[in-house]
Amino acid sequence: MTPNPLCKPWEHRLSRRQWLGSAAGAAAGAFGLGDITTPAFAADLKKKYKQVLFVWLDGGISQLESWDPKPNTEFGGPFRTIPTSIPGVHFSELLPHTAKQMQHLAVVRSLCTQDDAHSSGIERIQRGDPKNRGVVYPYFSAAVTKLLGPNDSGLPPSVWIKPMSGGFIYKDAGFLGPQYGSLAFGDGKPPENLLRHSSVSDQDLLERSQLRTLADKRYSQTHRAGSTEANSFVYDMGLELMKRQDLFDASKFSPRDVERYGTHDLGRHLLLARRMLEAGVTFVKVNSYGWDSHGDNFNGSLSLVRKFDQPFAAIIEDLAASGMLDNVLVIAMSEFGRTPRVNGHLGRDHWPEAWSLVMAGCGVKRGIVVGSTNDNGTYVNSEPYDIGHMFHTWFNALGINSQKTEYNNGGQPLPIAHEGCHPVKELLA
Amino acid sequence: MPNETTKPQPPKPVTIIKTERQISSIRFSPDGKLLFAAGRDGKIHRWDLSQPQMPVEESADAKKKNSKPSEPVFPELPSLSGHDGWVSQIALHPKSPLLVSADTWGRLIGWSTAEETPKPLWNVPAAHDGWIRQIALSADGERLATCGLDQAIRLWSTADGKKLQEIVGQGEDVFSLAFHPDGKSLVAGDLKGIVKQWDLADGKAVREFDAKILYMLSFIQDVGGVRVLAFDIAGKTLAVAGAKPASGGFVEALPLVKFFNWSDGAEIQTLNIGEKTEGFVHELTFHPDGYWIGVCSGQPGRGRFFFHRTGEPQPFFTADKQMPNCHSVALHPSGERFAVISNAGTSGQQKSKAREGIYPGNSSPIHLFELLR
Repeated sequence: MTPNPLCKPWEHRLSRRQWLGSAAGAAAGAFGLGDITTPAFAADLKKKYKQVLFVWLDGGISQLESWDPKPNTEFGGPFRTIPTSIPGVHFSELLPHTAKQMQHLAVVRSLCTQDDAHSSGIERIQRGDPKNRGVVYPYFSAAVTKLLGPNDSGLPPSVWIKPMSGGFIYKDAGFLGPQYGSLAFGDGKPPENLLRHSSVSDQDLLERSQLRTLADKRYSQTHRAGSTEANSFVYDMGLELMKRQDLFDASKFSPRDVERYGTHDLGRHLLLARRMLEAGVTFVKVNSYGWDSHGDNFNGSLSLVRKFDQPFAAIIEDLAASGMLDNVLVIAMSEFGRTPRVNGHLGRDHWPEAWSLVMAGCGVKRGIVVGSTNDNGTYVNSEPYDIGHMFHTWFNALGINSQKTEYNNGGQPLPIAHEGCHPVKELLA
Repeated sequence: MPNETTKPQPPKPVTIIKTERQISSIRFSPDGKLLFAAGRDGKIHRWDLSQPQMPVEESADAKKKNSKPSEPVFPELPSLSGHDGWVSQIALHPKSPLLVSADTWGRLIGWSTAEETPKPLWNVPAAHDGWIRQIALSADGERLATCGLDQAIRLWSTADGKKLQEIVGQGEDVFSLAFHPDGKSLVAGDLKGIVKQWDLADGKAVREFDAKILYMLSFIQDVGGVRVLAFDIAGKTLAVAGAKPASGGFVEALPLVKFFNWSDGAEIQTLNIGEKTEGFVHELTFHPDGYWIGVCSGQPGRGRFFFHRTGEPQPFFTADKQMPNCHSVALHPSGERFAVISNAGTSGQQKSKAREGIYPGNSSPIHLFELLR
């Protein structure tokens, strides 16, 4: 599917009205897709809307203990490699399940990015590290929900499944405005107090909602539209989610799936992510914390990488089996990789100079490895790719022409990805 | 020999043996003439301690500037190849000329040390499925015990490398093991802090020692594990060591040893050493004078070695300056010397000149000390 090149992304602003329209499935998405694209594009989107699963391994997975092993070299570490389902491609032995899914995956081994600090690196990576134009760029999640527009699932366009606390994370949206933030399910649980109190009847709820709408309308006459829209947006999401509490009911997962994904946080959260994708959420981010293995990296990787491996392989297998992988772009990555050098605490430190990520699905070639590092993994010896190259690639994989599409930030045209970078054609199907 | 109340003077540094790469473990030969090191370069390194060489005579001016006495240099002998990944452990037979080595890919090799250049006597390529965590020789040297990531505990004949016995049921990721000096029991410790005593006659678990304090789950990371199991010479005290973890990732952990009375299993003492930046106790060895020499290593630049007598509130000696990242300690058969490996080099993620071939790794200098008794 090729997007209409005349389509301008600022026409895609997701208004509360549009979102509610799509949420209700109103008139086969007449509101939901409305002025976003050409009718042909809209019809196609309705049939097969694009989605993203973004698995964020916070702190930095070691490329040497995962996608780019260097066994029996100076910095190769203690582990063996194993063959994958693609002849000639090897992973660390810590990824036995994912190795069997390599036929669905595209591995990039030539990332060379700019930032070696978590505090700034996470933002730079997830915002695509564009040139500084004095604005805060959106995270990839917000960019995707903005550029793809709403679908007819009736669910929040962007959810974030993570350990610890949840809430509505508006800051991710940058200049796009808070309504493009993500709804975070802390510990994989729905927002607190989502259940309607038993003393509130349907009629009560309707009347309360109408009263709130009226108040919003009056408030918006004297205040900036963006903030009132975002406020309403969150309420409306809440109302819709109240109807879909079944999504959070862990008892409805089959025991076999629970076993396949694992009962630890990342397993549970990826299983919930699958359900969210099946229900139609456009962008699902799953965070795993604790990957900053400055100490005891090899024992740490034994549990971290293996606990990633099992549910990640399971969700790839499931998405492929159901056919969803054709329309879901899957990305698993961190803010950087880890040093080849092993420090005195048997840890690896931060390393943006030569690291890896893995992707799969929508618009991406399958069963390939792109780029390489030198024999002991200390530098990229093919064309190095920055995060800007990945943003271009991901947008194009989703059917968005990253070099022609622009944001309109209050009249200021802004590229959606670093204009000094380009899509990696090798990766695109 | 001094009795068990003797407390040694602070150890006197003898020399530092530099290494090119990092080392997992060090051991002296039974005659004390050789020092062996398990390399994280997949090799076994050797030094001849019998023929120390003094540095070339310094000029009078240089002597004035450098008031420190010259340190002996011990010649390095050719290294031994045959392993993959890291050589994780080495052990020397107490009576026969045999070196046993294990690696992180699961290989176990028995080397004859009768020759000037040791040759493999036997070689078991897949003794375990992956990382062999620990090896231990029985007091008579006839049996070798191994444990690994594959959750298996196996016993082998040191004569020919044949498998004698398999012990099943310890638990997840068996980190450590030790023979009781009477040769009838083996103890093994795992990731979750479970220590079990195994009866070698029937392969059954006899009892458990609780060391769960050595484990925590941080997000999805299992942190810790029973890193060390060791007996005193008489077999009356079992030391169980590792750290009380505080976090994953960086892995902050407070070095910790639990001492148990072997006869009734009662806990004698829980000993905390240093701070939570000092990480894991990586090795303990028992001195014939009745105290333990231990090493710990935590965050880069942190770590120490210490002397402790069971039951006393604190170690009676710790290195006056912290020694960075001590990973192994070996006691010389004479009891008059010991060696500790630490870490030298750099950590951090600064931009490298790797493209120009400049990207040094870290190394493990071996510090040799004399015990003044």
